[in-house]
Amino acid sequence: MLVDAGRDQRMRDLEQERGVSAEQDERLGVDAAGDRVGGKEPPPLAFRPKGHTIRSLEDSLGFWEGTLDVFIGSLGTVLQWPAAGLLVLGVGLGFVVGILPGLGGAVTLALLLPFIYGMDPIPAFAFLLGMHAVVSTTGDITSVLFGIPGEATTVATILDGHPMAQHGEAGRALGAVLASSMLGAVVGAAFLAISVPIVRPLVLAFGPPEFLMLTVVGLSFIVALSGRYLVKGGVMALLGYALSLVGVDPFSGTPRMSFGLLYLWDGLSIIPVVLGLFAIPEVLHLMSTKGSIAERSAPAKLGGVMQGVTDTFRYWWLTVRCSLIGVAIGIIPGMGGATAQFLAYAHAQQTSKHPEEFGKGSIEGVLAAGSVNNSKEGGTLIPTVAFGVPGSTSTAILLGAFLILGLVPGPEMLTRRLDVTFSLVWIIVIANMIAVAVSFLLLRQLVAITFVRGGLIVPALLLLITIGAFTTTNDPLDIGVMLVFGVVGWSALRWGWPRAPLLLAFVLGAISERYLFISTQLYGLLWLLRPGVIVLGLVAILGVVFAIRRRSATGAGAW
Amino acid sequence: MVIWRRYGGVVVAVGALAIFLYLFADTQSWSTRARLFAQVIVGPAVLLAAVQVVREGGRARAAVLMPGPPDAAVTGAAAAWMAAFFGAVLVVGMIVTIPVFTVTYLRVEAKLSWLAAVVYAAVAVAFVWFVFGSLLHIPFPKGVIGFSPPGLS
Repeated sequence: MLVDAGRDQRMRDLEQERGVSAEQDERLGVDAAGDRVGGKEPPPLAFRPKGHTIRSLEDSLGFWEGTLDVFIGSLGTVLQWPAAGLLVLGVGLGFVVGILPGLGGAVTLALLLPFIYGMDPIPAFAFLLGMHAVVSTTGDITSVLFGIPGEATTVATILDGHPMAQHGEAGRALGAVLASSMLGAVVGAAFLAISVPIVRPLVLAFGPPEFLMLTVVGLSFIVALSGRYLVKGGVMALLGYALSLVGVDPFSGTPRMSFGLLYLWDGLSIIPVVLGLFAIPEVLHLMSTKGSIAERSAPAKLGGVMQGVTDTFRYWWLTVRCSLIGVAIGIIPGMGGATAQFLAYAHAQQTSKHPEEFGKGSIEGVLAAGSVNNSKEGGTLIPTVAFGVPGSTSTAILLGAFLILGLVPGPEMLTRRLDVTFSLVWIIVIANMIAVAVSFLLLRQLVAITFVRGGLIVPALLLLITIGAFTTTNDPLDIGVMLVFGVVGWSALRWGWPRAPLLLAFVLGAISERYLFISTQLYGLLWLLRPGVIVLGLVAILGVVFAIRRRSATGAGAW
Repeated sequence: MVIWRRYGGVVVAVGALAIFLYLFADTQSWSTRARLFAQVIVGPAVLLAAVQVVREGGRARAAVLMPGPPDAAVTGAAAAWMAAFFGAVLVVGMIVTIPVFTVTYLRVEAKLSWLAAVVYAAVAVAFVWFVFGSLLHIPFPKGVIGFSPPGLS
């Protein structure tokens, strides 16, 4: 009896610890410790092949029912103390970090990592992921209002969001970007919830050649991003590729274009590059004009916010498509949000009935950029949770959190710790709901900043971008790099050279080179004949042809 | 300024071409592995940049002027302020530059009162000290001859 009572108590403890009941375990096919029940096959994690029996169908139904129970149960756990409190704290930190230019979510994640020692997994992720999930949302606010990216992943929001603010439509732009961010976060989280078992075989079927071709598909969007001048866009893209070569080659150890500077051996960091290309010209413009960011006078009443929200639902299919692009790019290890934003933006431009409005204050451009940078969070978590392969720098740090908390990414996260996996989904959704709600409450005050005289906010902006650049590697040369790219950005703006292709190619360059090397090492030139490579190559060619035909049809510009 | 508006595009295109030519020359000293990717991009890069140089040259010969900044003197002054800020950061350090630059800029350019400018600068320093120094422990550029107070180093 004592032994039985002790065992029962231990089972109850385990259930409480994991937030999963014995009944749920039975449906999932694991015991309280998370191991398979003796001899019983685990329930299907993906679709069964044809010819399954009625018994297996019942198993499947039981599995999905049990999964649903865990899904709902994990919501309760996230909303309980201390997880809920830590989630609010994390969201508050993320709100500030997102608004401050240069201070990225990845850096803050690294700084907060030591705080989770001793925490339970779900409260720990509520804190970390709660912070990380909202930085892009609030980073969009800085991008729209000041034309300065709050995050490296919110640069595309500037392209149309800031012109809208300059035309006195900051309220509409913010309403659109916040609503689309929310929708994007929900799409990304939903995809994370349903796709982990499904996407696993798909991702595993991809090898280095296919990943390389995905970067080529990404490059085909440069035609759209080049705006009026295709040749200039091509030159800027190749310049971005050339800049991605700077630093010591990781495979041979050869220093490349480092000019004898040890600082450049690690290559150029994206933060000083982004701040230089986009923030410096904007601050210089603000200092020159001496007016406010918004070129019109302040309206008596903040208008357009609801119009922006309505726009999100009016263009709901575009928002969903761009969200799915974010998820797809997020799944691919190493591609990251800096790439996804431009691909979604270019996709929106390519499919728009008014591509000529892009770059001048197109609401579709704002929606594309807003939705993609939140949906990618769900996408990047898929390979992290399912395979232990981080999809981005931030998820690499989150992977460290998994290990600190004693969790092993992989099949365990789909069985024993399914509750933790689902809690990640809820954290992304709830964190964004809080951030968007708070943003809407503060919107009037935020928009009012765009009507303040530029001279009053210049010192604050200079301070923030300097800190943002310097925190990259804590080297004064970070500021030097930012200034060099400031000159490049200003010159590009002045003489009509598009900046987005340079940034996209700069981000894709290192990834492309890595996969090109691995592909040629593994297969020689035979990798070019792989079916996946051929299909993706055709997709890239069709993308370019489609974009060029659209340019010709709409008279979008010269070559 | 008219010269810049006429030939600025040529200068930018020639600059891009020069970078690609330097890349081509530099790759010759790299190992085979290190120059694999560079070799893929350098050919099209030189070709496209050369095409753009020719196009910009044609535009300059036809005396097509790019739109100029609203007022070159104002833009120059703004660039000088910015250069002064970053120069001061690199020489005397961040924590000295913030109050000095903020007060000076707000007084001279924004025509703010002494009191308001000093309060603005004090809030900026306090914000930096608290958020970046105390909360996140992020170091600041000390500058060549500058210093960083305890808590911000």
